[in-house]
Amino acid sequence: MTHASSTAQTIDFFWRLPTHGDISTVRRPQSTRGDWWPLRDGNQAPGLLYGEPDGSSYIDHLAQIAKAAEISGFQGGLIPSFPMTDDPWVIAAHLARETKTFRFMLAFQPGFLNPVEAARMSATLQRVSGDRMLFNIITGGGGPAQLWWGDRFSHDDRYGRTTEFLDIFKGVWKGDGPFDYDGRFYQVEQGRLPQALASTGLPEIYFSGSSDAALASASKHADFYLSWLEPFDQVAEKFARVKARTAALGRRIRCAIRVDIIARPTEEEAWADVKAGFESLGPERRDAFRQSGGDSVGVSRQAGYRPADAQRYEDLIIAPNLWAGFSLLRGGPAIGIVGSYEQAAQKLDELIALGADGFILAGTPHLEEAYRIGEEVLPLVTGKGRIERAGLRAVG
Amino acid sequence: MSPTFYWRLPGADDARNRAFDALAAGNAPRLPAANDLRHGRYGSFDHVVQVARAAELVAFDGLVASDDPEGDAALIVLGALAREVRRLKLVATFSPGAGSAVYAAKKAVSFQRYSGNRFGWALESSDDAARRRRLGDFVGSGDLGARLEDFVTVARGVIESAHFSHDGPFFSVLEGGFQGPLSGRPFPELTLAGDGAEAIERSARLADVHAFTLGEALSERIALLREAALRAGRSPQVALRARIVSHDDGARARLEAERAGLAHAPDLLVGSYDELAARIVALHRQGVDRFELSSPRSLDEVYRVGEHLLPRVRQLLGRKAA
Repeated sequence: MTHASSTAQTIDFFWRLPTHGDISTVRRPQSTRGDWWPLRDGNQAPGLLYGEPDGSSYIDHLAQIAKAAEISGFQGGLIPSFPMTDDPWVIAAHLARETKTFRFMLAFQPGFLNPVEAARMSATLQRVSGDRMLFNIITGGGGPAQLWWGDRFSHDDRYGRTTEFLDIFKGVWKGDGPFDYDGRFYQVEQGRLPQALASTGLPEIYFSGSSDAALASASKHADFYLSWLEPFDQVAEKFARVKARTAALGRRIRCAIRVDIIARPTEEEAWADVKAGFESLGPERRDAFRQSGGDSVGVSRQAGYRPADAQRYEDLIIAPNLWAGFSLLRGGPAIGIVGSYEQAAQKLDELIALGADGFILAGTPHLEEAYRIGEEVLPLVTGKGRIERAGLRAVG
Repeated sequence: MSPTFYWRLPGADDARNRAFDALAAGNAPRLPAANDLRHGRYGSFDHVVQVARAAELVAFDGLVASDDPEGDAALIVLGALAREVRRLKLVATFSPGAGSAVYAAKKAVSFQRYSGNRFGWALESSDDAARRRRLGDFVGSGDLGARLEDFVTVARGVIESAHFSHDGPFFSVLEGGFQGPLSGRPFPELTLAGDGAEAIERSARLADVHAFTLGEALSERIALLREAALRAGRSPQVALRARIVSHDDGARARLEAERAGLAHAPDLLVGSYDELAARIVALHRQGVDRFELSSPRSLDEVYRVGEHLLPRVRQLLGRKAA
């Protein structure tokens, strides 16, 4: 069983699994789902019923979201990994047998597993799920969090390590016979996956990172270059740069955008929900936001918008239907899309015209919004921009 | 304490697993006359699930997934089983050379959260240096014990403490430890193995379970572990790994073992249900707390053991029916 990726006419839409809890409404970020918050009325903490263990756990909530996403038209979902989250490999393994088509996009930092072991784990997941795993390779980050993980390598070294990791990962999986490698970070001697594992599909690779070191590594190994949403001119410039650099190496890379959406029947309702969420934020939430750190270039690029200092939600509207305060409402990228169903779809079409071939979308709460976006927004996305780009390439 | 019974899941060396993997899409049909609809739909995992469900239904206590370079990764297999098997303990075998100790600990925490604290680790590295290098593990044979201890130190530190720092020869962490719902989860039950004095002494200090393989001088090995544990002020359980072929007729059991090429295997328990029940009770009285069994006919033997052998063991020990 293989899962066809996007063609000239189609766009890959993924959803996102919230791996450290969810919020039940964007209008009131204090109302939560998951055991990251105390059990009290208004908070739903799976696993406890009237304070007593009830035999279920957070994975049951994630299973709900994965099923909602696959039935709503999403190919699968990103499974993020941070110090406070549950682990993507464990989540994917648990959900593999109770989903049908959902593709598990594991966020993974290559330094944390030996590449041969990672290949065997991935191939096992392919066997258990029917070739439904893929990677979001993360390399940047850093600062105190990197030492928390027990990883001492510097930012640029880590990209060199990622390149070596993927050399070996692919080499033992799809190489012609036993594979040798003598790198600076990894070595292997006569390594190979057994035939039953090697015959599964090599996972697609979504690759994140905005620095030059990241682009060099992405050009060699990535299938998709993944970026948070930035102002559209910056997105266009970045995608053009990545595609040119990869083309120079004789490879083709596609581009994808990870973005949150608040879409409602009318634009007024969408902004009213943004306003309600923004105005329910306490000063402690803004302080916590200011303290987020790390040496990630992507994070620095987005932090330029200083959402924590905004007095009114309108101060964070950076373009029509683009709001730069999403990170205040929940962890993650700052810039997201706000508008009617038609406007949200139109923004996605504009990004497609600028070079996007895929999206990782998210909305709060992840369960109900998977249905809403799948039912109301995805049917309005035409993908015309992609067809036109393909047409231009064909004649140019 | 009554002995507990764990089943080792069939792996790449299991004939039925191999047959199921041969159902991969594109392979030639296996049934010459039938319209065979299985290809591309089934693989060895479907067989593994049936064995696991069988072990749960016939009152085993846990499952062990092997770390076989020719087979699947234990952690993924057990993760996929955890939703289908709701009571059994799940023990994943892997090497401390497989990756970072913090990363392994984090997986263990999620596993505990999702499975109701049923997850265990069996940490083992191959003695064969060439085989380790094939797996990308270039640590020398003389350093494997030190690496294992460093791995356990870091993993235990970040699971059991909120602010853990360690700068060891193999693994390090700064201000590590899990917060919120990821904190306070039990460290996975730790099984270590080995017959040498160094391995036994290490288990006395670190392991919850020390696994021996059925063979010569078992009493002496158990005594060495007990002495070392006494010195360390601990009491790890003793597990015994064995292959088993049982039948109501002992001669038939021996015939089946011979067909499987196990007639002279030193780790084989073979015989009638009555013979084997007496043998297991005797081993239990010798000091074995846990039996970790496997068989070349995994599914059939799980039922035979669960339906015929374990009831006899319980009767001999004066325990209630399960």
